[in-house]
Amino acid sequence: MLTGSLLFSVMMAVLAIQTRKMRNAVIYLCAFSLSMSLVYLLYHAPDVALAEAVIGSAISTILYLVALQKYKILTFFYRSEDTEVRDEHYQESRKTPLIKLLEKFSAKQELELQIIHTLDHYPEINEKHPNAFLLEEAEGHTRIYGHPENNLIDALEDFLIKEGFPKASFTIVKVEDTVL
Amino acid sequence: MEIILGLIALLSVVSAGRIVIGPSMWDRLLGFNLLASKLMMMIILLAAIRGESYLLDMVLVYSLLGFVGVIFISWFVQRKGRV
Repeated sequence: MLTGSLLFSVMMAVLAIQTRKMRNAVIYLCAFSLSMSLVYLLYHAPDVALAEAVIGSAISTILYLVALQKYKILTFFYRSEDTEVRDEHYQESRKTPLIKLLEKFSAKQELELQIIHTLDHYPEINEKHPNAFLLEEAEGHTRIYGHPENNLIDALEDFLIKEGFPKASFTIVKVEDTVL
Repeated sequence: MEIILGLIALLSVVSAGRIVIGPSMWDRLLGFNLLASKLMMMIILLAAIRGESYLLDMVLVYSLLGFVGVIFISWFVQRKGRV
């Protein structure tokens, strides 16, 4: 039973790191602390097991949930003309001035910037991620697609103009639901 | 009594599998709840076998606080991220 609990704890710890969703990681950590408290019990340390049960199951769960509430992501999808996104291309595109400006913008809005390279067009992206923007680069001109109800879109436009990003080289396209 | 303990240990492996494979988050939460109750049963049996009554205090604390934890997670998900 001791070996089984230890194996289960290791499995839960690995899963909590590997999972893509934060909320699942909270549940994995709950199960991890549960089995760890059983392990402490089997090692004849019931006082430690009691403390682990109190801290691990209740306090740290609530703490992680409050932390998750504070963690918000601003998602930009990035589509370039190349049909194939190579690693070199990815490295190169990280350095463009627009990406640097977007990093500054998201830092100002207290959001975490996330850039996803994609081949999809705006309707498919808007269906899955209603708050995301799409950047489209073609022949030196950048188009930024966003939903008009997104309150960040006007702030983004003001920010780009204020930071001296050349106004001729980008357009902001507000896509309504009915047009799609 | 040891046979029952082994049986519950076997069953708790099955509900641990639900945490690992569960496709949605609710399945994982359900598996966690099942696992928690089975571990409580195991600790109670262990207390009866060893004749140590302080293990029962631990089960009491765990059952109360584990309930609070599960309620908070489902509250969090249902209200879309507002605790």
